[in-house]
Amino acid sequence: MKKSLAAVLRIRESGVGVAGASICLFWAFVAVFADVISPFDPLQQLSPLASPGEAVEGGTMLLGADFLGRDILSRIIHGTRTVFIWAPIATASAYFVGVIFGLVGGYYGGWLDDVISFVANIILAFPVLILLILIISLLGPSGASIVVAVTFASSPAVYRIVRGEVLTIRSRDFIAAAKTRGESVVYILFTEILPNAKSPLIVDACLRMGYTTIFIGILGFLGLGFPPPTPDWGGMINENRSMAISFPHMTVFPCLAISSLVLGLNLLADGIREVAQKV
Amino acid sequence: MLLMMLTMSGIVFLILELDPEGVARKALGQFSTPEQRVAWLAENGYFVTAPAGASLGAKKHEDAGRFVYRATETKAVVYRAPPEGVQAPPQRTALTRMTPEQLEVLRKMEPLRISAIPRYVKWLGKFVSGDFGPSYRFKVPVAEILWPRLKNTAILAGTAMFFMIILSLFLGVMAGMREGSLQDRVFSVFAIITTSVPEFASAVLLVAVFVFWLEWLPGTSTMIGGFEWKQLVMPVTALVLYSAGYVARITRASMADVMRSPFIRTAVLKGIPYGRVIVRHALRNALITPVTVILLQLPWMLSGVIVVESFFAYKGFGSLLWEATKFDDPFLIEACALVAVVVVVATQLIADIIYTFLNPRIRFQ
Amino acid sequence: MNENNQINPPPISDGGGGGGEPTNNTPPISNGKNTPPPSPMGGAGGGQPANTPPLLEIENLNVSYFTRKGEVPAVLDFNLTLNAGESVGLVGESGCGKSTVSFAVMNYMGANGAITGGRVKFMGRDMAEMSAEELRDLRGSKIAMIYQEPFAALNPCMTMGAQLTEVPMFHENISEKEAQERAAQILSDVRLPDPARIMAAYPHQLSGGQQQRVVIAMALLSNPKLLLLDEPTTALDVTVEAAIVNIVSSISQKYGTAMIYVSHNMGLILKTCERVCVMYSGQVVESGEVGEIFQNPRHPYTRGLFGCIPNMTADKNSRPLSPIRGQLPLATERPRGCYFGPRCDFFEKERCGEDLIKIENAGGGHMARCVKWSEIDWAKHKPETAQRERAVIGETLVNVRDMKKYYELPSAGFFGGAKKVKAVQDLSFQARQKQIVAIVGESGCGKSTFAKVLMGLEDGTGGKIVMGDEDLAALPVEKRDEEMIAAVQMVFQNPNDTLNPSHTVGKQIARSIRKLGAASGEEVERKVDRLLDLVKLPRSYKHNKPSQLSGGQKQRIGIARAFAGKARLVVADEPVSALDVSVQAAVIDLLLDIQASHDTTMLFISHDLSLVRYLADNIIVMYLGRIMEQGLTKDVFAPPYHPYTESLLSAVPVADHRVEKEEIILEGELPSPLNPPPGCPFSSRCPRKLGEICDKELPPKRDFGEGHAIYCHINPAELKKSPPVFRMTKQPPQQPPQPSQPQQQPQPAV
Repeated sequence: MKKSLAAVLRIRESGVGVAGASICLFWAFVAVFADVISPFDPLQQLSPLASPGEAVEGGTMLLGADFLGRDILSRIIHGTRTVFIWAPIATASAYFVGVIFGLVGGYYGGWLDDVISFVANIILAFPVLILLILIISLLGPSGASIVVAVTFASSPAVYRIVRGEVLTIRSRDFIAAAKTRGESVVYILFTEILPNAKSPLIVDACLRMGYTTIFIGILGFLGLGFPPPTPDWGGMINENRSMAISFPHMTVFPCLAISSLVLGLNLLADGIREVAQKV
Repeated sequence: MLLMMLTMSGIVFLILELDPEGVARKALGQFSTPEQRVAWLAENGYFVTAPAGASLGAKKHEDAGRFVYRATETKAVVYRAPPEGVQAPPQRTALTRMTPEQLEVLRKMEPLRISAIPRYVKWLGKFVSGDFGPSYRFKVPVAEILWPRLKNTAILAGTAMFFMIILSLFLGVMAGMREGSLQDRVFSVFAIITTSVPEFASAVLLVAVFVFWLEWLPGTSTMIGGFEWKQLVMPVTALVLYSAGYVARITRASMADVMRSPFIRTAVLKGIPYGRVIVRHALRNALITPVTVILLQLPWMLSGVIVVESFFAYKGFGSLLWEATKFDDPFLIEACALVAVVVVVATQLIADIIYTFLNPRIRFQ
Repeated sequence: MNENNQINPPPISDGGGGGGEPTNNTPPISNGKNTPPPSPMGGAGGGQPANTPPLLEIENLNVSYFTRKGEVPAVLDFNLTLNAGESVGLVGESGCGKSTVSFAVMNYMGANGAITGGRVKFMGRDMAEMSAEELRDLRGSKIAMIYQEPFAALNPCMTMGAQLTEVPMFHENISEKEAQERAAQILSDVRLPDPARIMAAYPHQLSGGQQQRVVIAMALLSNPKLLLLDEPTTALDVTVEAAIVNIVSSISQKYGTAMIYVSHNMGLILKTCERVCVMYSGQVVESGEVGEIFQNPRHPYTRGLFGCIPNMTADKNSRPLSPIRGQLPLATERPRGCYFGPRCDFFEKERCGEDLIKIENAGGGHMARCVKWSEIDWAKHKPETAQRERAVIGETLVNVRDMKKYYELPSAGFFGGAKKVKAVQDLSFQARQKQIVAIVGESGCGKSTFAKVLMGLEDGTGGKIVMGDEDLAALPVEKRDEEMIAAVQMVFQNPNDTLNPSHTVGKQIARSIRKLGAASGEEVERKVDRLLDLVKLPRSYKHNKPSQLSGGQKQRIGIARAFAGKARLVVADEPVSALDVSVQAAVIDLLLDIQASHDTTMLFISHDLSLVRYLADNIIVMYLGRIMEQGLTKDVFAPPYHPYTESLLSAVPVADHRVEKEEIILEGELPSPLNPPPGCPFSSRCPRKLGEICDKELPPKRDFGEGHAIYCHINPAELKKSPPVFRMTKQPPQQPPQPSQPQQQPQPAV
């Protein structure tokens, strides 16, 4: 326990990593304490089209209001929760599928690997967004269909990474050593191979979380995300984009929110990579 | 390649066409009656049918246990046998002329579907021959609106690719040449920021700066008054920013890798001028990875195109697909998806060729 | 132009922001930058002044690498003077700074290295003061380098021709056509047949030996005055190595090129150089004429090193190795005083453990960095060595009969069926209880493939490996029972690969103990301790991750793991080939001790003939999947020889000046296992080839009794005539063994 905490704290060795981790922690804090820190109810319609800094009954709308008069800041704060719930679930699900297939395909090789790799390459080559749109249009917009769509679109990339790692690790002597003392395949896959693929996978998980955040944002932006009135960053941009030219505050701030979170995740990934390489 | 194309179209088919009732519902709208959907499906070749009025006598041995009912004016649909103890309606009755009781029985019987694989073959054949079916949203054949839209997107994506390639390769090579130098660090910050801002966000931010604040550029790219380069600036910028950062990061990594390699050390220690070391020895090796990545970016750019086109109301392929999705226009979605398949397969092919050209190790195997 | 950046990079920023040449932290006399001597020559090139300076002078050179942990000194206080045409060897184990010296001569320190003190003068001019342009002029024309890994050193995307011709084209401004002619000429000088084909080829189309010849040709193209060779043959097979070394020495004689030869192999230095510098942990510990150093080493480290190298003429019972204890110190953790102190038998805290030791003249040009060099009485010193009784060989344990292993390669083109690689063909031998059987051969001979089949990691294609009642060739590891698994265990080659980096050492040993059924429950922990004792590692190491262990320690854990159960047969696949000589001896000793005390049979797979000579009872010599010769060790190492064994023995560099040997240099490259010669596999390179029969027919087995068999078409009587490869020349001490070239140069202050 102490050791794993020490491992996490090693991110301090990388300036980039510290910057990334602070951004991510900031948003995580916002998500957890959304109810406490948000100045208004995100669904309450107060002062339509209010510009940033306008005072209304019960406080100041620091970032203004949207066309229905809902406070932008409060909606961004509550939208954090949407992202922090669904992006990890979707990413984890993609990882589950990708890791299983990657371990099996990479370890056994042969026709099984050929088939999985072929399908994975096809999905990877296909424009992600079109794929997401097709799947959502089949399932209808909801959190669950976002998870399914992201899993379908992202797990091949995870598969590729895991498979690549397995291919290099499985030819190493300690795997042969495990085989020659009669270990089972499951033991070899999960105890001998997987822990050694840990660091590239953690790096990728951070990046992928960023992609997933972007996906969710795009789907919201295209009106295929969470049904309104859920506070969702992408959805907010979509709802207000017809007025983006005249009232940029409605769209700019959610954009900044998404971009900063993704930036945080990307920096964190860079930092982890840097720290991992130093060992 | 062919296998790839077949598989991809197969996936599209699986997602969109496996459930014919769903297609019918999309085509006819939420409030269509079951009978209307059956009729639509029969009309569009989803069921085993016979020409109206055809005698079934000759095919009796095949159709044992099945009953044929006239479904529409032109085609008759083959149904499975009714549940036990139910009196089937008489043969060859038009749907419209059935009694309520007869219709009730008919609903309990299942129309005999053509199984998925022959349907897939037929479906693919239709697209290959250029028959994309009608668009329910635009009330014209799909082909008629698809081609001009594709042309517009080709202009947009082509321009974006052009600038993206120049920008990303230039920046990546410059940064990777001297790992850890100031230019490298400045560049890395730039790249990581642009890769963190997705197209829709950069579009919004660009509009806020250049349209709302500076008022330099138009905020939409409808091109209603004819083609205008000025309207292309914003969507192209949004597309370039996002993908250039990614490609440039890969170029940088690849270049830095090559610069660290022993054969560059050999070249330097051979006393060859630095410029030649970079151009002749480093570049070709360093470009192998980015070039393939760039070509694979093309399909990715199709994703960006959807966002950017719909944001700037640019009349292209992306906004077409988006509208088709929003209004559940089944044949239009299918056509768009298959166009994407063709683009993907074509770029893969080109990528393979270029890769072979760049990498002698592959060429001679 | 900011070429300077590239060629002489600044230390990376977190190294403390010092300039290019910080001089403040250098312990010995720092000639600094304050008094730059006036350049003897005005511009580049220029005529020679009347008093010709030495070709190369290195004065008090200090080189450091700058890492996140701070400055790590790699080379300390290095001095060397080299005249035209001389050759000097830098020898030492990994991390001793020998390669760094050679790159410092090129003034090429990489991104994070810097010369922190001293000077390198080439033809009288300080290289640090040269402009980037002048340096570029020198590199590749006056000073050229040959690298350790030829494949990595060549540009994969350019033809050999393009890479060769650019050297003279840039240095001498000659036309491309002229350059091509010269390149072709040099290629035939390095004995590459068909230069035109080579010039049109890309690196991956050539074998390792051919690549290295191209690199040598590239270095010689502009007729350099100084040639730097950085472990030029380490990545090559021994017969190829012999050919390359031969080329290098003949060429340096032909062109009068001076050489700095960097190697970890004492034998190679003896063969190629006139003088030698022995390096340890960044310092030269001893230097002088090669003959003098080999005959009369003064420094305990040099002595120890000789004690660690198996001798071609003796085995483990008659002349056991005397390992140096301990590990090489990390560059960041050098001890106070003498760096060799903690491993030295003569260490005295007051004299050796305080101040930095200065190098002293021990007579003539012989220098030694030891305060006690004159006191130690080597005749009295008997290092601790394990005394071994000859083991009593028991019953037959494993019987291998006609073992075959073929691999199918996926076909490359659309036509042409799958290709078969015949990795092992008709391998037959017996291994008895307590016996050590060695399989020896160069890369691609099938020795490791056989080990995999034996371990059940791969299926055999034909033949049998009988052990007890079971046929191991048909019994993949998944189908073996616990007892069989425990009985057949393996020690792996690569120390960095043999342990899982994610788990602690203790866990991994415990897992082996449980899986091999040696103990269960609480007993396991005690057994882990006992095994650590057995391999002479502290018990506390069980809490360490493998990354905290040195290479030798990891191999010890690997050995402990193999002997965790009741191993009856242990396969050791090159267990020490990745280790430094001084560590290698200790690990070998340990392995032999445990093997003997456990009554285990060992199958020792190696490419190292001297090692095999040292430890094996029986030897099998393989080439391209087939047995060439097999028999008792003493028989294989004495006439009659198989022509391949003979050339193999001749190719081994021997680190003993008293040994003389027959020179047999093999022409040609090792054929690809994909496409071996149809008759005798060795026919394409055999120096004693009879004629067509060798190409077409498999050679018959010639039996010489006691299991000694040679597979060759040459008739047995003829084979018996060949003289032994090695001869001991008993020479009186204090006399240089060979007439070492231009004697008594003005004694260089090495």
